[in-house]
Amino acid sequence: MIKVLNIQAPTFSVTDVMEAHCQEYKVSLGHVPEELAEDSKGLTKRAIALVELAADSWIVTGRQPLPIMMAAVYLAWQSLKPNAQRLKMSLEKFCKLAKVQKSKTAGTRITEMKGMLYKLGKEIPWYKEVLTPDNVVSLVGDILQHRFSLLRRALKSHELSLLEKCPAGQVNSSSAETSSSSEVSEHAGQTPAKSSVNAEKQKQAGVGDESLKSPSEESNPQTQELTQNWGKRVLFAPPCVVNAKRKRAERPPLHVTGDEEISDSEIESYIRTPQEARDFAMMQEKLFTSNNESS
Amino acid sequence: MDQNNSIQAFQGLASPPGVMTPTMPVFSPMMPYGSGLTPQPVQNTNSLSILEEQQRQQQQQQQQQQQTQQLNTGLPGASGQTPQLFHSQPVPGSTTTALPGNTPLYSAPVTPMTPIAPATPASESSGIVPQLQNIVSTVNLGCKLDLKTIALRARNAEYNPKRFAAVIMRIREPRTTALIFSSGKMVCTGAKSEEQSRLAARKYARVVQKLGFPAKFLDFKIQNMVGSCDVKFPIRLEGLVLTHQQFSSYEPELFPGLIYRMIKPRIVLLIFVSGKVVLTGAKVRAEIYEAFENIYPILKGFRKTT
Repeated sequence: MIKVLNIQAPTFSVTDVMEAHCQEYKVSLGHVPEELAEDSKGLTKRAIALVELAADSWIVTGRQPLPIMMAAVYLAWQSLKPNAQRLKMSLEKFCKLAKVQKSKTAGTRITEMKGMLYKLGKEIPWYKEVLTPDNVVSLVGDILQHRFSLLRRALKSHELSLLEKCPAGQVNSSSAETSSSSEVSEHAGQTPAKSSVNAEKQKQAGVGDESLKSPSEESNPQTQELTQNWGKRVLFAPPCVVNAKRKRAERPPLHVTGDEEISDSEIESYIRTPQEARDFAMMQEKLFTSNNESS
Repeated sequence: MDQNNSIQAFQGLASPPGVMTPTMPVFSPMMPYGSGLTPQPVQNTNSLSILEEQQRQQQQQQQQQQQTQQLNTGLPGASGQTPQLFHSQPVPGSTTTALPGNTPLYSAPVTPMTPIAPATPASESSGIVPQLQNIVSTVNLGCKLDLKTIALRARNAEYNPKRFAAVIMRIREPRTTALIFSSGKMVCTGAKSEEQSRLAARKYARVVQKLGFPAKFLDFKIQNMVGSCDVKFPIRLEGLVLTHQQFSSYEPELFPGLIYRMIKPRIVLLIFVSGKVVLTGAKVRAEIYEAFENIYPILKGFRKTT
């Protein structure tokens, strides 16, 4: 169809639509009490930053954009003023407040984003209390501000924890890590408020960091059996890989030539005996007449 | 038969699928990466469109073609074939003559001596073999059938004329399903290999024969083959659709995977963020292997940033 009309479909990016989406949420001063109000611009900025982070950690690719945007706006709204009232408000109540229709999968996205923020928030050196995915919302501002260095630290500590598990064969990854850290440090000076060009660069650096995990894993002969679920051994992986469903039992492969003899008995087993055929015909008739009577 | 030769070549899995018919001279790179017909691994993500790149390579080929014309006496149509993009202009002076004894599916090697593709060594194979998941084939039983009789007298048949005008029959070994039409034509689906599909179709024909119809086994043909595999690393679908716009279609609102329509061979690939790839649309097994070997360097290129 594109050929016929001689057009090019524009490539779609969630960040482009974010601003329009955020304006749908009626949470500015005019619509809600001051405690719960939030300026639309600030909300959009923070939500976009959250979506970019989510995109880096494989939460966005392949998913419907609307629930992701909803989750980002909700978390942004909560984190801009993380008082008890906002933190206690569930997604459903928030959507009622903002007069938007809640989407069911937004809840799952919120959990995934909180998990990703938790992994980054763990690396914050000045947070002394116990961090869980639930209370990470109050730290979102700090996480977004220092996301590059936090990401670097998270990858380093993840690599160290893997080294403890299997010490052999990690030489590749350490040299690769230093090259990736130099890439990331280019961006370290920038502030979180981004144009899409910078976001692209960050995404690519992010890909380089996170995906460097997998080649180093595969080069290790010990982990070849474990490459079944490589998602569990990487810091960030698409959720469909991490929560891999169990494969159905595969049948053993049948080696045939296609021209074998077909046994008569096997074919007979697929054909009704005359008595069966009569019974079946009678039953069909009865069903047919009873259907006619009832309708 | 040509078909059987190419199938047997893959059992050893030592050679990439480009090397199959013995009639082709071996002085060329085995994988025609530089032919301009297969999508190239993207070296930089800086917006050089695929079409421009392929036209540039085409011009290179043309120059080299003129130089090496003497060497290609045996293969008149070997080099400088028009790239089979749907919107490209035909290159003057080059024709795609059919090579004797070759199926048109496999392109002849482009230039004998100098490879065109700069980076990727042609002999590096992925080491992953796509597994066949489904084969669809058709056969003509050669006689009119009475579907009501078949549904009445066969145990494994279902027939609901209001819903669908064919009998749906199933057998246990190989586990397949067949649609049997009153014209005598039959579609057999669900087999995991070409031979299994043929055996299953013969079993269905035998059942119909035993039910009293003069069934024959005419024009057995494989219509579609589906394969799948896992590259075991995550794939940035948004990036892939940007760099391979002409071939890809990615709409996360509609479907989570990226739909990649490869031109040569003509295969459709469904690429998912988890690294799993589904290949479909093949008439022979070699097309699936070739398509995967073509897409693997592109996917790998997306895994590392340059």
